[in-house]
Amino acid sequence: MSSYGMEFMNGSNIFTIDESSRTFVYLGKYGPLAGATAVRDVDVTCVGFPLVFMSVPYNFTAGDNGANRTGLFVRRIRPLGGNLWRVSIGGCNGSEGLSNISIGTELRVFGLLDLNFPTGSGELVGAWAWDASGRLTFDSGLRMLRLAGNTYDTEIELHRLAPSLDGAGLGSYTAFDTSVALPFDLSGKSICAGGRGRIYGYEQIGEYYDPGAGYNVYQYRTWGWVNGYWASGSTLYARKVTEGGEGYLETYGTPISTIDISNLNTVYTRLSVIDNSQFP
Amino acid sequence: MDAYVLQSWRQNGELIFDSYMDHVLFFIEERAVAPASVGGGVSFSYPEHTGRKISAFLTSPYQTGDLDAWAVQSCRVSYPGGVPTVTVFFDNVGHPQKCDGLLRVFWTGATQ
Repeated sequence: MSSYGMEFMNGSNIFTIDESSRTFVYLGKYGPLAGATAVRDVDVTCVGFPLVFMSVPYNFTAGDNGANRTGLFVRRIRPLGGNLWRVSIGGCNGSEGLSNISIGTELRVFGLLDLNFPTGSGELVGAWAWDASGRLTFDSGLRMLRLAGNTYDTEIELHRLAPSLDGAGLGSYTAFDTSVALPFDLSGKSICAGGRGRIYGYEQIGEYYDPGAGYNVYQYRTWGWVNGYWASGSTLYARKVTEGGEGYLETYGTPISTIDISNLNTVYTRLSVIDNSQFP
Repeated sequence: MDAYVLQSWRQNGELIFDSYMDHVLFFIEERAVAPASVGGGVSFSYPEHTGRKISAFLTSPYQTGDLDAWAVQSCRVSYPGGVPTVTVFFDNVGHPQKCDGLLRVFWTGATQ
């Protein structure tokens, strides 16, 4: 019998403690991350897959150039074994491409409470709850995951990239920004959201007939983008920022008949935000 | 009057939990998602949480996107008939090692 349960509902009719549902506990902070490396790996300790929040570059404009902005995203999370996970952060620093990121971003890691029950937490008189199978679901003496403000979940659309295949130009890609207005300032906040990672696209820029070889040469420019996040005021932006540098390729005889752009379609990700001051 | 509040303080007076002010994520499910074609996708429904608001996250143990390899992720939440539903697609065509995406679903403590 489950005799150690409790439920709490706040004034907005939202449950903040539920006797049968497992919640997440704050395990620690990593960073600030700095240095001149495009992709930064951080190894975190967590039993079970970690829930990772990343602080958002806030009004960080150093190195920005016109349409290029600094943005970061969580590139991947993979297990290393022994409760160790490697979190890779990717991003771009404005017009300098991937070569120089020195943003002091931080990671905050949360794990399931019943798997990550910390020792030595008897510092105060607290309240605990267990579910029917005996798993700890709440501990008032620990920093349990809780989201910032009243907006706790928003969906972000991550649009396909520009330029269009007729070479409409890089400048038009600011129209593909995604902005999410939140009811609180994003300074001092961290987000948990998915991303589209790095994306490459082709753009035909010309063709000519090579009389010596006897065939047409089709010329393409390749662009690379990373989908980074950054914030200003109470708006979170998901923007494609160029990796810096462009590639060039040619095909001979026939053009690229089908440039598969299905991967460039709009995709969606959820967003959650936490207040960094609650998780020092 | 708000008579049903739980608050916890550290010995130095720092408030670390306040049941009246907080919004938490309650764990529902964690599952692997096999790759599917971009534009398609797979949906998961949680009828036992009908009427509740959920949140979902899709992650990958491999980096999303690389030259000639795409790992596009999409994760949407909808409530058809009040039943929380998560629709995801995870396309890793071209990845040298096929992998699954990891989906985690939470209850936000709120109703729809």
